[in-house]
Amino acid sequence: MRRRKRGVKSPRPEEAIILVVIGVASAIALAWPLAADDAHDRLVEKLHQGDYSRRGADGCLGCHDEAEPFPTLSIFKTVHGHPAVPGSPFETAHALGGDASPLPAGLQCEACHGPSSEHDRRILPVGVDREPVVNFGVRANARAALQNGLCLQCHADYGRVRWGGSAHEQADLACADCHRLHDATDPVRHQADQNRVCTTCHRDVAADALKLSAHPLRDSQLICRDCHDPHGTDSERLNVEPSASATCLACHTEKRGPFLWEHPPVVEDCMTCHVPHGANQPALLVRRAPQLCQGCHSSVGHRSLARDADDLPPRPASVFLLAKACLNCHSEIHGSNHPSGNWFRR
Amino acid sequence: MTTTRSLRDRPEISLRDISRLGDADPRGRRGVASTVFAVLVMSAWPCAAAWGIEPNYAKVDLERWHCRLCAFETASYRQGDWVVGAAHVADAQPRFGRDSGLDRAGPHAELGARYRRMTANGVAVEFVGTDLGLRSRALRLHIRDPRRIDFRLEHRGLPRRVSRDGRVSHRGRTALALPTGWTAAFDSRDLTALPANRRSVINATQRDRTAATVRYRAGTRASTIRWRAEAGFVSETREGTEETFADFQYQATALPKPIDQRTEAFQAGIGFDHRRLLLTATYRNARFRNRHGFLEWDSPWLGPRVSQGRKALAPDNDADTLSLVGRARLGTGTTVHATLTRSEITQNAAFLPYTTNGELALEALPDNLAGRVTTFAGTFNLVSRVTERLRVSIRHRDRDRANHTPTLALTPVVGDSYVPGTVTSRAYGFDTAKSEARVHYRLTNAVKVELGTDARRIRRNATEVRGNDQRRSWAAFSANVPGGLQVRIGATAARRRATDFVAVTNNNPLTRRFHQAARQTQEWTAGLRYGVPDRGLSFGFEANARRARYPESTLGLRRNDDSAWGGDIAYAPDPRVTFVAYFSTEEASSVTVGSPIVGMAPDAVWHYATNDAVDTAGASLVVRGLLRDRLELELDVVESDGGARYVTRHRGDASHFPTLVSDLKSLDVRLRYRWRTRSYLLLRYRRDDYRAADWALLGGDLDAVRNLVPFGRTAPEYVNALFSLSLQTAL
Repeated sequence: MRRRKRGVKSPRPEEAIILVVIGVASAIALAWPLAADDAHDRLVEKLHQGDYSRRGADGCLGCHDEAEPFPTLSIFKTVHGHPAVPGSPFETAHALGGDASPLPAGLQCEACHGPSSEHDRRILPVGVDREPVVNFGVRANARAALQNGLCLQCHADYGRVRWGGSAHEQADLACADCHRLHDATDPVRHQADQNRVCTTCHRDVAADALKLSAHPLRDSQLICRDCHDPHGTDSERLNVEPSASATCLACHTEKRGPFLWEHPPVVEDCMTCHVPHGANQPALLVRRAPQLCQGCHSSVGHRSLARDADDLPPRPASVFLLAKACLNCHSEIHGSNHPSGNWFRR
Repeated sequence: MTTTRSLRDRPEISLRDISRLGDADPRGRRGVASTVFAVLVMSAWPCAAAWGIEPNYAKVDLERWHCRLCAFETASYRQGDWVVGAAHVADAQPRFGRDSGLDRAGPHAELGARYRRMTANGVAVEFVGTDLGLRSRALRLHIRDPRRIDFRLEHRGLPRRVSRDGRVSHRGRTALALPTGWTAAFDSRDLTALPANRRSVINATQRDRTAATVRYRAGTRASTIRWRAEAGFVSETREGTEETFADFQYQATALPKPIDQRTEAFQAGIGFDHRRLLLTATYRNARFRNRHGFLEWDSPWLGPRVSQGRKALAPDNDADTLSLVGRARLGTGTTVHATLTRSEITQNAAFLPYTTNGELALEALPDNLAGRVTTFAGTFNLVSRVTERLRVSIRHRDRDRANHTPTLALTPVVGDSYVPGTVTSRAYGFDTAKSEARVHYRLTNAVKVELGTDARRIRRNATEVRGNDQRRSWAAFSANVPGGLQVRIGATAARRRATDFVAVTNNNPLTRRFHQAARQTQEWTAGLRYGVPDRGLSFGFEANARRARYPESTLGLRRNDDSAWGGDIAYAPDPRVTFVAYFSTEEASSVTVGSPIVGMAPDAVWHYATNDAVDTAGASLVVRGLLRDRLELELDVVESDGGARYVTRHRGDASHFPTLVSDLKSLDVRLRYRWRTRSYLLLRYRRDDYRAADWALLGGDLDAVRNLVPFGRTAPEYVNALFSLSLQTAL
């Protein structure tokens, strides 16, 4: 008979799960081809070497024009391509010798794509590959951290204070995964298109928006940015306010209280009873009353149990089950300021 | 339909030894503390080897960078268009136009405009107006001088059209009166005037939000120190009617609640930005004002001792918030940022009298609540890329809601009929704190492992369970192989403990409120994505599952499970053609246990199982460059089959409720045809086929429930179509 040593405990289920994941991950990682990420390493090296081209964008645009599969010239319709915008890659103040923004402003294409002294050589010897430059989006050849680092040289300001450690940063999302820099307008920054960009990944939210009750996400009356900041926040779900509840109350100010009679879960967390995007139940509820309410409240004193389908019409039906169920009487469930509203009925 | 799945009920309900509930596991706290310490040590590792983006600009020579091929010779750019047209909606269906205002049959105006201009000195002006002929109109004006000023003005309409088929007998807005000759009764079947005296109520609201923000930047181009000041104002009105209920004892009545509310918020802030240090301070004041402080109604019932009831509506409130944000970059790979936010909400709306019943002699009330709540939120984050392989992050959050509202001993009147006794109000407050440590380790260039742990603590006052302590750990593995394959798997496990139960209410003491109860949670995620190199083709698969158990809850919520999985395929063989198809399945189920008597008599125990499921499938196609580059086509097809099932079980007998249904099939086709050089014809056809079923809505069965006068609403079911033709003209 096997005996367990005193003081040695078997792992808890959750610890066992994590150990299994670590074990599987380690096994896969060890078995994985240890091929070096040549392009990425080379790009890091090039940034450190700093061999920028001699002619700047003239060397790039000779090849990369509108005939390319990824047209480039529309960048000149954006602030990135405007010579008078301080700090922009095409700021001409450096060349004019005036009051110029610090580099990489004025570094033209190479401000974002990195040094390309060798990349723009017209003629290459046979068998020699062209030197890589940093590519973004679907042709990305560097890790997200490197791509983002180039953007954050200029954009690590107020709006990106919390980017480090944010959910998207930790998921290795690159700026160019959401933003389009060479287009005259960036879809993710426009109300009509933002939800479509976000739900490319967050498909569950798009599905939620089609349910019985939902926030108006389907046709972009409400957009993701109204409640979330994709660049990082202090809350867990990238909410724009310090908590999910505070974010809800920014619009639903009538539920802010404080009330004479408060309902503790309302005060503590709206997500106790609601889901944020869409639900099969009315009013974005996680379950419907009375079942939802009876997750906390005993039905002593009420015949509020959803006993069975016989309680439905045309049989004599229960006031505790139909219409709004518990809320038929406890209608001020988010809090009441009425002196007789202690059960949220007034 | 997806609702044919069997409900997973678990029958075992046994009395648990609730005395086992105790304080948080000290072993868990030590585990978190040691992890945090280890991470701190790692993050303090010399950053000489740290990996950061520090391009070397020493060799830059811009002397010959003339940019002759750049397309900004004129340095001025102007673009715009306007849209004029008409849309026709086939049928009046609130849900079809719930969020757009297209809930009315017939013609609607299609108006829109866009204008964008950049001047030679870099000043940009942008105006976008969409849906200008609808209640969901949106306007945005943005003027940006890149050197100094940034000004934004926005307006947005947010309609919410819930139903048009609600019917009530009352007349009026805030003082709801029954028609003369109303015959009160004890039973809804005897309300003889009910069927003949119903008037239609449109259950709909309209939000209109207008916001203006101005930012001013100080500092020269060459300076690395920049100051920013900003100020903003938001005004939001909300008007309309909502559905509510009111009761006398157990006799409830549907009522139209008037909505006429305004929220105004003012915000001002200042910021300082240096290469390594950023600081901001922001103050915000938000005021909520409700034009209607109460709602009065005539009772349709014979039972109550008064003929009129009165309920309080949302009281006015004021909120002030001050937040400070700071960020410092330490070395090339370490960033620290912290936030401190303090807010105060006050509410001093005048109290209504206890009751409309003048026969009751009651003690005098204070003038108002003198409600005041302060909330303090603080966060600290440290993210350090210690080496190219190792990255650590530490986070701590604290949020403290201190309720300074005085507690009042009151004598509430139940149903405007009797006073059961003195009741003392409670001023709820809580304090939450969460500490988190997370390590990312890159095993190879393609493979990354993440390990994390956090500890969460909450302390409440005036509740049955004063505190919860949760410890959570997770592990995730991701691989991003250069060949185009991405793999991701992860697992999370959490255990939450609860402090001793203190019976401070008259709830059944065996019932645990689930947001306070001890809980065990496990979660799994997996994802796979493969992009075929140079083919424009990618496949993806995602799955996740979560289960929560409440091991120390005898009554109340016992378990809930969520799971979802889905896949997608995207194909873009040409920059002009994109095709995406996807499907997903979501399911959420729960089991709740209840008893109508105090204690736990086995014969009295009921189980409620719920199961919500939604299958969603869709496809979208975008084709540009058709008909010699004259025609663009966008097509979206989506089908969502949602349903919810309820089963109750008592003494082994199960009873199945009718399935709740929410099914949507939608087709949306948009064509853009270049008619002339600068003119386009826009054609849109959208068809929604929606069907819902809900046993809780009583429809025309106005007297189906003895003690209830319902709205008489029915579940929406329709086939509706929108057809629009517009002319878009570019400047």
